[in-house]
Amino acid sequence: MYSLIILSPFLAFAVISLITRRFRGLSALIAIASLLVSFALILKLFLALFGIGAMPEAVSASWLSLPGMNFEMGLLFDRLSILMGLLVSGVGSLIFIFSAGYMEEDPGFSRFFAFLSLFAAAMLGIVFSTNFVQIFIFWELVGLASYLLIGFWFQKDSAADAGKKAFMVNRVGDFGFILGIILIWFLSDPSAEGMKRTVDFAGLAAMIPGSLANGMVSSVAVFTAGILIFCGVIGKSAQFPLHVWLPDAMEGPTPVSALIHAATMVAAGVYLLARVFFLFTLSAELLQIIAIIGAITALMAATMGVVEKDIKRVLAYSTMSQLGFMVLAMGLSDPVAGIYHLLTHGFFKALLFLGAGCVIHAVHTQNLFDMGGLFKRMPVTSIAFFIGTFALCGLFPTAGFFSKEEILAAAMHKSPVFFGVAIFTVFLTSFYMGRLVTLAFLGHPGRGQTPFYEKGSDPFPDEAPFVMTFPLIILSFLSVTAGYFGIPALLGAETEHHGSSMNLTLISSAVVLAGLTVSFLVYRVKRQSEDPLAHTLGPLYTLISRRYFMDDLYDFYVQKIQQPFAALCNKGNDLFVIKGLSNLTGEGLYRLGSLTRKMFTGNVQTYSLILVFQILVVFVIAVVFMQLTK
Amino acid sequence: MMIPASHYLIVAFVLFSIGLLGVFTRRNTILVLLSIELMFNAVNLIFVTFSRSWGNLDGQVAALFSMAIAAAEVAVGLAIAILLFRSRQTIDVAEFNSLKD
Amino acid sequence: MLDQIAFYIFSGVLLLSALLAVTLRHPVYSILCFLASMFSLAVLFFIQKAYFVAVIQITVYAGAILVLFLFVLMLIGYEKEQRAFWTNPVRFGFAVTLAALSLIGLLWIYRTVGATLVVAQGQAQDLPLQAGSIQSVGRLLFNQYLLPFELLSLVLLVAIIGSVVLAKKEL
Repeated sequence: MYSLIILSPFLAFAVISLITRRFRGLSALIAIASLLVSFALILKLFLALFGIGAMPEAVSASWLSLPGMNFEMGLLFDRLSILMGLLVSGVGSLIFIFSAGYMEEDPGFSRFFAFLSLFAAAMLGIVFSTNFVQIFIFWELVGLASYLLIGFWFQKDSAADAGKKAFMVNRVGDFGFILGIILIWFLSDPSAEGMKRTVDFAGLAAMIPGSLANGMVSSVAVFTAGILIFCGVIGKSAQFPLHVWLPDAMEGPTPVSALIHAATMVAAGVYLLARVFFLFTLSAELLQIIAIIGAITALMAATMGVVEKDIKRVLAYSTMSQLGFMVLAMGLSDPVAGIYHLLTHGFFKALLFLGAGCVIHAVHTQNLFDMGGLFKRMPVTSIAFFIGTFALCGLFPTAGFFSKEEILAAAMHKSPVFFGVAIFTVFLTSFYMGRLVTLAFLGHPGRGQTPFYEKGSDPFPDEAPFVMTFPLIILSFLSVTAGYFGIPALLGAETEHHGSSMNLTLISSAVVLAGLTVSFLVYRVKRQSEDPLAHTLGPLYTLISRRYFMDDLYDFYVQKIQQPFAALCNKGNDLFVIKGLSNLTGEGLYRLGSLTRKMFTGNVQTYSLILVFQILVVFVIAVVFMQLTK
Repeated sequence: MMIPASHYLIVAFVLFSIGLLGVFTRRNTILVLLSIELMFNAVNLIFVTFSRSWGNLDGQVAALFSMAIAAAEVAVGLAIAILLFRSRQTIDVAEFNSLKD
Repeated sequence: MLDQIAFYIFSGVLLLSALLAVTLRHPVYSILCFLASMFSLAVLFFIQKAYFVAVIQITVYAGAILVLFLFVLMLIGYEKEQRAFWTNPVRFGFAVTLAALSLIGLLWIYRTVGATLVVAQGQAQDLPLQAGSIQSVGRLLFNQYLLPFELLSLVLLVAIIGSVVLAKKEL
């Protein structure tokens, strides 16, 4: 029955794409209902965690059985998967509802909900996977859904390109991922206890530490497997250096950004880290690398967010940065903190994106420097947005504060370098969010440049319809209260729970307030269409706004190195080898044919010669045969 | 002392080969037919030789039949040669190559 | 003894004239050599006590067939041939080789199986003088071989009609 959790949205996808394409309202209803079904089921499971109702056993069915290999598909029910499932289905349902309003005028309305349902099914599949192979399947499905949704407005070249970019970069990471899976499969040594080789999470968790301890597998092997699996995480969660697809992914509709690139899909990588954490703890170097990459990503993304003009892109960089925080937490051996932050981040990031969606819906522009003074006209949205901002910055008493505190505490206890980086990133986070809020919502129209909508040309921005503000309200509530649910306890954090000290709270709060204040001061006074930072930072500004030239780097690699190499292979293999062989065969036969053709001169005497010759040949063969069988 | 049959057979074989050579070599159609007649004759010799060595007359009867057939074949063959001449104005076998590829 | 002399002389003539018949370029000369070989072959038949066959050989071959050849040759094909060697040396060489090889092949057959087929020498002497006479052959023809004999006449009939039809100017 619980397989409905995944099947329900999948069925919705099938039904919508095949049957109800033309009935928009019905499609939306089906999609929302299917996800709510999943949510209800997961809620039931959640209650079972507390003893209300029975917790079902993990189900598992053999899916592909070859000699020596046995792959299963199943459902895994534990605290992590249930909590994650609640996030995905709950926030997902809210976003579905939001989309009904946001995409109202879009001709591809039903298609949108079909893809959304597909995505939901795949994401839930990831969450409830029991083994590596299953998670990989759904991993790829999620990548596919992401491609479809980013490139939803495929008529726009930039959108189509962005979709492709996302998929391809993801694929690079997935290549490492699958190599890691294969390696891990080999590492699960069967000779150990008569157990079979497996890719099952539970099985591996039991086997691998033991294998490492008694020397059956080398630590190098474990490290390599871990690094390869981490590659998948880097791709999916947009960590450095495979982060380049996330900013461009904002080409998709805003609900897509909210769902996929804030709350859920990119979090899948972090989820995987938590799931497979038993592997990563075995190697200190691996954890070090994970932490470093997380920290680099967090810092880098925050700097890029500071100079970005597009509202959605700022939020995208913010996502990247927060993901970096989560990965950093994992690297600091505190998976509980990472997942805690994942959950709270899901709430407030979705909130922020949806709020941005409302704004865009109203003013039809995404450039921050074209906005201003929206607070007056869209109060509900603005307040929700403020709440989301405070949560993101980690201001007491929002949920974001609690989760970020955990991470900062872990950093403080582990390493001053990481702590320094983290705190600076917190400052930058507050700075760019404050910048965003100031530019979009605050400021008096009339001082400096007036936003275009004040000039009376475009429709006045009005508050968004209720169907769109309703999710905002819910999410705002969650963003504030989620810190009090006791999630760390739920996740089973007994060990290594660093209580955050008073010092830490004071320091972090001070940093956050400083960031917010500075940005407010900088941006509220000068309201020009140019970023004043451009003058201040000069060449540094250029570096950052060009995304540290990473896109150019990749571009160069693909154009100058990869494509010529592929063309060479094409030429070499196709032209020389394959074409050569077929040409050779054809040519050879042709030559043979023309040789034989010379026999047919039309001259009778020649024919008679050939005839007698053949008779002689047969005769010789007969004689030889007779001699041999004497 | 009788001449052993093998001597006759060898003569016949050589005659046969000479006829074969003629078939391959000659350019005049009629002379090709002539070479074929030589081969027939060689065969007749072999028949008669074996008739002698077996002591009955079956071989000679076979030789007679062979001669009759050879006569019939020559008649028809030469008629065809005449037809060839009528249509091609030549009886040079090298010219008859319309079956050429 | 006379037999032996006759054999050697006339087999020599046979082979020589056959070779000339195949080699000479002038067609009429070629046919004349053929005539010579027919006659010597008849002598060889005679030595082997195949009297009737010898006579028929002269009558039919040397008489009818050869004359027919001459007639047709006079009508058509009275040109001197080119030397076979020059027209196509390759083919000529191949032809000679093949003829030689077939000769060797035939001899080889004789070597392996011929000895069993040829009965002892002495038996030939037992053939009476009339062995190959027309009566004995005729007796055989009209008793055991009556059917083939009648069929042969049919064949000859067909041949006659055929050649007449083929060679007519208009049907």
